[in-house]
Amino acid sequence: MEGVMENVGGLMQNIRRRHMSITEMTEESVRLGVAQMDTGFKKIKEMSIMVLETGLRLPGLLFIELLWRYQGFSFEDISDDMMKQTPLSYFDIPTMLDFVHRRNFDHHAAIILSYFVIFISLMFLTLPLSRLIRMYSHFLSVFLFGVAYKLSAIYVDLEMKTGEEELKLDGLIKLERHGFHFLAQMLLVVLQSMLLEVDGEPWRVALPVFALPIVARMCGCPMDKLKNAHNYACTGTMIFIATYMLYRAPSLIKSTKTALRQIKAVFMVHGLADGVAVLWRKLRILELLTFTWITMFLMVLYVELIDKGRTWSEVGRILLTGVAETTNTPITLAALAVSVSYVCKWIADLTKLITGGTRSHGHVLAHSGYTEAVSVVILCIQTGFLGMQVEQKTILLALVLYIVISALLQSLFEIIEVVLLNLPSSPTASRARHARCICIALLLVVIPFFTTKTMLALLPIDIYTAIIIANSATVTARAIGVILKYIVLIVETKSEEPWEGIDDLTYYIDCANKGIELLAAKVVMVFGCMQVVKVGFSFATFAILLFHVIVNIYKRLEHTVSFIKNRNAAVKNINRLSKADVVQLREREDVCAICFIEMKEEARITPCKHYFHGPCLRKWLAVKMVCPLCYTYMKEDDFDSKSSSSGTLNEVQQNEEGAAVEENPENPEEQPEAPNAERAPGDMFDWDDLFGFRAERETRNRNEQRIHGARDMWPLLVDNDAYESDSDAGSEELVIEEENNN
Amino acid sequence: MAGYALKRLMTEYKELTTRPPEGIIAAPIDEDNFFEWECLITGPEETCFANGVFPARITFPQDYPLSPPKMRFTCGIFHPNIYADGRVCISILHAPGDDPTGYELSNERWSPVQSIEKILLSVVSMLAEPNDESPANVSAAKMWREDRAQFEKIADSLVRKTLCLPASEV
Repeated sequence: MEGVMENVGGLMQNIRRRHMSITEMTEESVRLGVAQMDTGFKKIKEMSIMVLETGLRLPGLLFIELLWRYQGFSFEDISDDMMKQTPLSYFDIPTMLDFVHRRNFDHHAAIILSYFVIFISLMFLTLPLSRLIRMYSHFLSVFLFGVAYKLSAIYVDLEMKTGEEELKLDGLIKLERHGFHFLAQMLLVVLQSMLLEVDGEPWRVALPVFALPIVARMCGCPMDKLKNAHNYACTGTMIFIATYMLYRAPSLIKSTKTALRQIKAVFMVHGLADGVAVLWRKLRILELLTFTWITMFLMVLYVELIDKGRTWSEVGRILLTGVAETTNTPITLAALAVSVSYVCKWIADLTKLITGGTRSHGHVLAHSGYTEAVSVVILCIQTGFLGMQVEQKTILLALVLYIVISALLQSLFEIIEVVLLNLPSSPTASRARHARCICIALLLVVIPFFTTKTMLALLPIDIYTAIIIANSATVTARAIGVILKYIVLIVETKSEEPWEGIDDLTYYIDCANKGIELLAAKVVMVFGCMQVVKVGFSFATFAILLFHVIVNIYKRLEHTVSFIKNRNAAVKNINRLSKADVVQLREREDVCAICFIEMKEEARITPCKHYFHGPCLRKWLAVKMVCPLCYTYMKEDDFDSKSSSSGTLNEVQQNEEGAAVEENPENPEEQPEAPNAERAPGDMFDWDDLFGFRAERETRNRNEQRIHGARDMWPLLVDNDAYESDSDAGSEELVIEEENNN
Repeated sequence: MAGYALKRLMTEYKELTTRPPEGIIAAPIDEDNFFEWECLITGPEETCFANGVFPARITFPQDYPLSPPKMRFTCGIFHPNIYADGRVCISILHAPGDDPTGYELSNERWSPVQSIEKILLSVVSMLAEPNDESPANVSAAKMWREDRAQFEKIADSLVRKTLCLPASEV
């Protein structure tokens, strides 16, 4: 056997050496390097394309936003005073208004202009990137036509002022004005030719129409006829533009048909929901909404800070006012929700990056910030946020943002909890990583206090603020609990022998956490009842209190009671066994067969006379009530008979009875009936949907809590999918080594 | 309680390093992750898998040793008790609890006193004596019962494949 092993080992080494020759390693290294460079270039290219596309599409949403905001006004009602109040005041609005008023637009022209702006906006939003760039080039060419028109008008005016009837080119100095104007026109024509991608000689000949007055003047055209040349040039330009558009119309129709066919193909391939998702992602609506809202918000901040001369001490109120002023339409509400979503997602991703944690197994929406975004949208819609005044919007928005912050803190807690509980068991985690995780957990203890303090300064105390305060207290308690568990796990990892008190400590920490949660929930309930008595009965408050009692008090109480019962059952099982003496352990010099560590200080003796550590045996008995070595069933009656028979062997028996004290749940107080006084409809604050999301989160938290709490008793959590249908027959004779019995 | 499992895995690794069993090499993949082990199993003597060296991978749960690990061969191996994707179907790796089909006795299933060494020795024994009554690979079990020569021919070709030798001229 040894000879064969040596031959096989040598042969394998030769094979490996032959396979990993220097040439192949070199080629592989070069290939990997090239692949990595290609990957980097691709990522940079994709990022650049995304930023460019989003920036180019941004005017579309901005135009629609402006149209929606001022759709009720007509041009006569727009005045300088009103425009200066708006966030766009640092644009050159008076000049634009003067232009509009002097043009005497009538109603029909305004309607046509609005439809044109809508059409242009939709084109901005839906065109592919290449055609979008081409559309921008078309706008630039129209601008160049305007420049050419301006130059031609200047030339005609200059010629009129000279007063010379006959142009005499008897010196080089007189060619200066004509030559420069002609050169400028030629430059503009070249630029337009490149932008419009004109592919035909007649088009190119038609482009320099505004050079006509110069040529006519140089050919001896009299002064009174020069304006006619300019007018002919303008007419030619309009004809050119119209002909160009008519020439391009079939291409536009064809492209539209192709696009519709592609959209139909997308829906047929992916289905309705996935098709909508594909279009959503391809049109980059999320990025567009985020950039739109950020742009408007920054403009409002600029107006507030620079124009109105406020100081930095009012940053909080300035921020809230800015958010309230920018959220006036459904588009900006969606943009605000998406921005909140992205901010929460970035904070969560940053936390993961700092702590080095892997992606948890929760629902994908729970960590992408969508919960916060949907909360913002639903709360704003149900309270009629869009129709409020700025002050009311500011107060309500502060409340909404504090709700979002509370939800974000819970998300961060879920991230940090997984990392902190797994960190003590990884042997090569650096001290810096430990320090970073501890710092973030301490931040989760401190930030809720700061949030509560600022919220009480801004908002009056209400049922809603009470719920936010309760949630902040819960996050703080959980963070402290996680830190304590982390310390306990560190001590366990560094100790030589399993520590029987470690499960007790973890159990007490969990009980303290659950107690604090229940206490906070009860305080909120009492506060709600007091408010119903004082202010008066309202259906909204009653619904909130009822939902709160069901979700936060009753279910948590039920979970806590079952947790305590499981714990007491485990403790009772292990306490039925007798403890081994230190002298006995020294005589045996044995190791625990479960953890393979020596038993020096403490051990338990099974009825079949096998020795194990108490914590190890307790964990196993939660899985199966048999001896790990000989698989003898250990039932309750076996305990009593064995322990009585073991008394005759003069062994020290220490039967400690576990504390089986169960907490009696307190009956919640019945809510007193209050006079039926309804509040204003604007103050109706429906929390059902918020509690829906919070209940969903708490459901997941409860499941994870049950799994985590049950792991303390080590139940069987193996997924049996792999071994579902096939089971091995018992023909194999596997003799369990009985070295531990010697 | 991953620290509890980690300490036991470290103890087993130390034991396997100081007293390695014959024909078996097992170690964690890297020091950062003790819950993923890689091992080499030599085919038992006087069988059709003799002289073969088969790599396998063992994945441990966070609550080891209360739950059994999962083992799968990373090379192609043709055996009645090994699935086509390499997963090993053996009683010692099944979760504790009575088997509803009645094929296994409860004391042959997983127990926390089992160890990696015992798992690997059981797998070597399984390679020597397949169990065709409840197979994981039905075609292999059928061939092993009805056409033993063909089975041994395939096994020999797999042995040569693991050793990177050319195919047999037979």
